[in-house]
Amino acid sequence: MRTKSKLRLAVLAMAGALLAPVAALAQTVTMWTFLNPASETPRDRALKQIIDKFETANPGIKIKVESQVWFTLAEKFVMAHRSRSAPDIGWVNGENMGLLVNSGVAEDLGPLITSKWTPALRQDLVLPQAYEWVKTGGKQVAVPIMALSIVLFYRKDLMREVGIDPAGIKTWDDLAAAAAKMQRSNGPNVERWGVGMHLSTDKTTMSFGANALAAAQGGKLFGDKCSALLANENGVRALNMQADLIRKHKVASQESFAYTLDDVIEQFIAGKVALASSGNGRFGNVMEKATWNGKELGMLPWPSLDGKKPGPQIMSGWFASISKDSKQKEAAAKFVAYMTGPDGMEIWAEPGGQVPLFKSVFDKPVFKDAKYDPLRQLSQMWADAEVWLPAECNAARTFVDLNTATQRVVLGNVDPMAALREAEAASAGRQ
Amino acid sequence: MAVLRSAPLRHLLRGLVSAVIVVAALFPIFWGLMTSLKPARDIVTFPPSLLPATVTLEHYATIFKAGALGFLLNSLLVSAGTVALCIGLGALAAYGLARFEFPGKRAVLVAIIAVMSIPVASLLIPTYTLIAEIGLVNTHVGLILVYSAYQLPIVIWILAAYYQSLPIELEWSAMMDGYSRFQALWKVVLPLSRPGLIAAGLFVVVFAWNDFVVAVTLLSSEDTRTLPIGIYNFLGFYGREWGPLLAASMVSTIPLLVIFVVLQRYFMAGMTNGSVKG
Amino acid sequence: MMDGQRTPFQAYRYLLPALVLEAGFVFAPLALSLFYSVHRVRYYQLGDFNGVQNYLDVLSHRLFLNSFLVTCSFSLMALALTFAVGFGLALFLNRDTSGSILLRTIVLLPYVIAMLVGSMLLKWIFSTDAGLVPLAAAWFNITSPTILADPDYAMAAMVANGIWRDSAFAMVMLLAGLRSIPPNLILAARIDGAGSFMIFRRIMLPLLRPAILITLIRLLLHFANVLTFPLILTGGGPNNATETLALRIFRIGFEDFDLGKANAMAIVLCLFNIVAVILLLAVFRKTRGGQSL
Repeated sequence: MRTKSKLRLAVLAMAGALLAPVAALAQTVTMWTFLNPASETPRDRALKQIIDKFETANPGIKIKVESQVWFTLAEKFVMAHRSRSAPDIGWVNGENMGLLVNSGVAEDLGPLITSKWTPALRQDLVLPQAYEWVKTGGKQVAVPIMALSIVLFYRKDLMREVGIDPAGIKTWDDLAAAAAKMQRSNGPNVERWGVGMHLSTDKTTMSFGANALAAAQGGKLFGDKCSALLANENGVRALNMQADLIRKHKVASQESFAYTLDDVIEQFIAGKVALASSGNGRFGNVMEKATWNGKELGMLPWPSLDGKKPGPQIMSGWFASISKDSKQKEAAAKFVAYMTGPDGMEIWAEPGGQVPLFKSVFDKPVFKDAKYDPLRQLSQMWADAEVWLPAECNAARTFVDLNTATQRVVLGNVDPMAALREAEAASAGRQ
Repeated sequence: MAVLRSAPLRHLLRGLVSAVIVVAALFPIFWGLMTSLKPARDIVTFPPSLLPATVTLEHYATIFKAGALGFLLNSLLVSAGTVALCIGLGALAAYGLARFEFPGKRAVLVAIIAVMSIPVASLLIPTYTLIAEIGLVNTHVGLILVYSAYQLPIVIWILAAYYQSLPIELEWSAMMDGYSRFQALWKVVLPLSRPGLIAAGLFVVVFAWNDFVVAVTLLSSEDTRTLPIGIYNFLGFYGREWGPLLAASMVSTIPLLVIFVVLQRYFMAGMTNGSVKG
Repeated sequence: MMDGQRTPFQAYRYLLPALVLEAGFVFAPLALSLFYSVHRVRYYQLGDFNGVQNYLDVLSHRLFLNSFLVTCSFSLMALALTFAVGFGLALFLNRDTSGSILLRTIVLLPYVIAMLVGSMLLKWIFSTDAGLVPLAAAWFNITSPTILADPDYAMAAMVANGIWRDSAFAMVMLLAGLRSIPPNLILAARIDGAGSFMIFRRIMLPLLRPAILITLIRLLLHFANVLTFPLILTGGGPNNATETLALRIFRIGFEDFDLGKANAMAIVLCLFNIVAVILLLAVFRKTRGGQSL
């Protein structure tokens, strides 16, 4: 005890000397986000405009943004509660929603925000499921700011070149055939792969196989209590499809097993792969950086194993939540409501480049311009095939389990069903 | 030299080995440096070109606009604080170890090894919890204390070895001149150990300067942010920004390199005596 | 020592501040980590006490043995090669010519650049589809192996990353040791007619022992605990061929959010490390009386 109090004294003395001055104004609402309003990207500018407009309309409230490294943001928000140093508002990405839902650190936004909605506003939602998705035990733990899904990018120029109509790609076999046609080799060296896949065990996003499996199971990857549904006939088909792109069709590099999403997208940008999947949020980035004509970038609905219906758009996004510990929940909620309401959404769409989550916003004449076509296509794809995997389940890691299974089948010659059983067990072990 | 064969051949061989060393050590970094000078569009082209077709400093401008200067200052402050604390406490503790036989000495030696054996990542959450408990989250002081605690064992080890190589008679004679033991340490041992202190300090600074995991866990606001967090931030949600990422890491390498170059003489000499009897 | 007998606890006056710091910021968190390891801790929420369940779960997992073996083989290979390269560099760059000083500085660069960035650059270079290895291979007219997709090559790549970064550490420590050898000792031996090899074996090696010991232990612990190499360079793959214990701890703790198991595993790794150091010390002691190291 003595040591501790001594330590505390020493520590406090030093702290006094070095502590960064923190202004503690009564109505300053602190928000953790991965964006940086001081920066210049479309989304950063959108956030700045939203804050400026909100502060003008609400002179009593100041929004203080503390930018965070995106991949530790959700964890830090949850951890900060253990130490009562959480910000009022925290952004959480869909992949880490399990953390927020299971940790119980978020204030119920029902009474603060969503219950105040008019029926008309409720009718106006583009993605009503997004709000249901982040409800647990009747509590609204977050509200969506921007929605994202994993989409399939392709190059219109290459499709034209080989005479394939992208609309005709319905099955994974169609896709493999198209990929084979777009592949270019120079002797033993492949100059351009048909498809780019990221099958590493990095905490990653959905692979082709996961999408195919979810499609074959009616959009489901999890049963009760987050038990993953992998080891079955559909799982074997999906896994073999994915493995065959490498070992049979040879349209994907074996190094897919080492690639992360970032690696693959960079190869797509470099023209090293003809097709690649990624979060739709990277559309603008790819278009801008592509070493080919960026205007030729297109999005393809996902194929499926049977070709009857397109594969699912597995949804994610960024969500806002308010800390249970916040001392100014009303003010924070006021800002969150603005940021995620129709006014905010209009700014997220322009200049932010995001699909606005209210139909009435998107119907405004300004958004009829051709430059919003990709957003329009995206919202159509969502309407056709939107799937939200249960937030409380650690889906991102189950995707990794499926990748591991694929690696074991291709590199270790393990029987697919056995590999999938292992994956299912691994997935169950962490729920 | 007993085996002096043909001098030109030896020169050739030496040159060859040197060339291999330079290429192996430098190539990845040279590749990074060249990449940091390419315009964003040229970075991920295939086949990659080693030298930039057009040289640009845009990424360096980007990082300074993103606040790199402030992060750099924070890093300097934290690194300096860590080195000061490590050396201060380490110099004392090493003296205790080097010059006394006492009950529990073995336990202290085992503890030094034990602390170095702990995988840092596993302590992050418990450390965060404790640091938060004493109100030092998001402060440089908290970070300095944690860094120092991690690096102190190696500092003590190096310094204790150094002290042991110094003749104890110097201290005796100083004490006969009326110095207390502390004064002898302060006025006689430490000045003689300056090279050893510098050597230990350099190892500490490399850690404190480059650490990301502890910093990102303990710090949350931009005004406290250290440079590695600034670097990692270019691993963006919408993709890696190789240009600024590499520009920032090149910039961050410079201070350490300068320190090494300037202090190389002391550094080598510092370890010199230290390891004789360690 | 006389001093110690007179006032046995005097040493603690010197040790106390350091011990307090370690107690506060290493041993207290470690105690908390131990506490977590016998509880269910999911999503950063402290749950019920569950005894040794976490340890049993962790140790009985299908991939535990794999990770253990991967950690051992990586650590040993990286340790042996890094030490050898570092020793070679130290001998090669021992003289203070301007060329040696420049080379020493160059060798230090991989050590001082941020670890993450170093590993990212190596991954880029090793990549068959985006990197420079295939270009080099084409230049030599050979088909390049898919380094990162092959379990053995991936391990080799990880070891290479270790050698590339940490040889400088070994070099500096050993170089310093070499400098501590009084030149007249070597001169005297030479006058007595000892050859270079004899001098190296009989004079240099014995005098370098402390420097060698510090270097080996430090490198061993570094390689056994390192996260950046497997996380960034290989991602632990392919087929878990490079998934070290440190990487598993990271993933269980920060991707599965299971701190109970992660901490149990960390304690296990820590114990392994201590055993490894004890073994190393034992081997070292045994050779003390021998003719050579």
